[in-house]
Amino acid sequence: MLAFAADVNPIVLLLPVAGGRFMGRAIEKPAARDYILRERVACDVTQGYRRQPTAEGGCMRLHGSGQGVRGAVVACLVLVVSGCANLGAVRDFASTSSDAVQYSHLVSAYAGTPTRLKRYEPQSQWPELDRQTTEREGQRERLLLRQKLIQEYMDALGQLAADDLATYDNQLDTLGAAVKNAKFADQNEAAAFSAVSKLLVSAVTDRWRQGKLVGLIEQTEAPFQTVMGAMVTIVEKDFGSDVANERVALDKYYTTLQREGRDPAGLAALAEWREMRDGQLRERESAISSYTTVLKTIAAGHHKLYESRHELSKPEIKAEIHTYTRRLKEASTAIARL
Amino acid sequence: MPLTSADALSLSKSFRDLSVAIGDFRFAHWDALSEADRKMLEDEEWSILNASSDMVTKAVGLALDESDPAAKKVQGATAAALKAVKTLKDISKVIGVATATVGLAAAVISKDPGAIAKNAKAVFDAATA
Repeated sequence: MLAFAADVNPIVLLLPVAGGRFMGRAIEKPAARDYILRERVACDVTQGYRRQPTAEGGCMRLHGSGQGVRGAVVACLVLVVSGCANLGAVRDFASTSSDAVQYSHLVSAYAGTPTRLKRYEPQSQWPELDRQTTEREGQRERLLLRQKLIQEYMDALGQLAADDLATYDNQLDTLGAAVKNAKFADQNEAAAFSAVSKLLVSAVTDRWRQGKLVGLIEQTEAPFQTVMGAMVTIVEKDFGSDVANERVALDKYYTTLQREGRDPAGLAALAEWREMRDGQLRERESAISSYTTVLKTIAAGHHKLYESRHELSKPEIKAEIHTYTRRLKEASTAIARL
Repeated sequence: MPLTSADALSLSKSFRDLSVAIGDFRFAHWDALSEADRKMLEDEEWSILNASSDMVTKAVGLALDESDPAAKKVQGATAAALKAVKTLKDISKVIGVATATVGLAAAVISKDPGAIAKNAKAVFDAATA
């Protein structure tokens, strides 16, 4: 019963009575290392929706009495000694990024543009539009894979920040296969994609914990920025051009009909339909703008993590990271309103 | 012609601008154009707009590597065509420029360097005739 695991910090075992309950529970667990790691997270009382629940009152209950104060001091000492950092801001940023990046509507809208253009164009143009639809459908998986990579990476980042194990997702195999199948025309981006996905696999298979967080951020920064840069270009410029083309088609179609039309009621109805379609395009433009903000904020936020990687628990750094998180939430809310 | 993503996006804008300019010409000269000419111009506008759409598809799928000089030649030809459509008053000349541009767009999509060079020259000739 009192045979301690080799990785239990001996200083923790020297702590006096107020930590007794804590220690007692620690040594009752056969998997002492796992228990101590969980307890560290439980004592991290700040924030983060992935925070594990505090066990039996945990640190918060200790504030009410002299013994409680002593307990709090002990708990803090435990945190310091065990190297557990309060990385709630990083967790929030990572989880918000993971949620915000999962917006697939723009990819679907892009893939569907040639089909929508059929409503405006003469049948003689339809075979060309069908060909483009097929080509774009073939691009869909690759476009979504980029999002998936960022999502998986941010999940892993958040899990490490919370000192949890990064979880395995079968999608990682898909990511690896996508790189192997050379689905990326740009070799720089393919290499960057591969680098990030390999780090993710390492994080999972080697059971990385919070101690590896700085290393992960360091190694990922350059390829991560490459992948994010490619995504920003596609969303902001390519999808933006796609909407511009659809607006030209809409204008040609309705202007021609309105020039040819004679019936006032028909013209009024046409004007209403034109306004409705134009409104749909404006919504898509807003979504592109907001999603571009999401992507740029994730990239900038990650760069901030990289720059501040050795001082992530400093209050001023946390405040800056929260600024990125808040901006992400605002952009996501704007998208959700559409 | 090995296009880069940036080339394709730039060509997309060139083709879109040209399609818009031909459309503006069609609407501005609506009463002066015969129905057949209006139909011909409109068909060419759609073909050029679809070439623009195809260039967007290419931009999404292509690398960001170094640009190919042939792409600059295509952009130069479409710029000349745009300038011509915006300034010409002669309907038959505008139709000539539009028809030549449709040929150039088809050549770009086919990636045939010989056809691209030939059609780029045809656009220049039509635009400066």
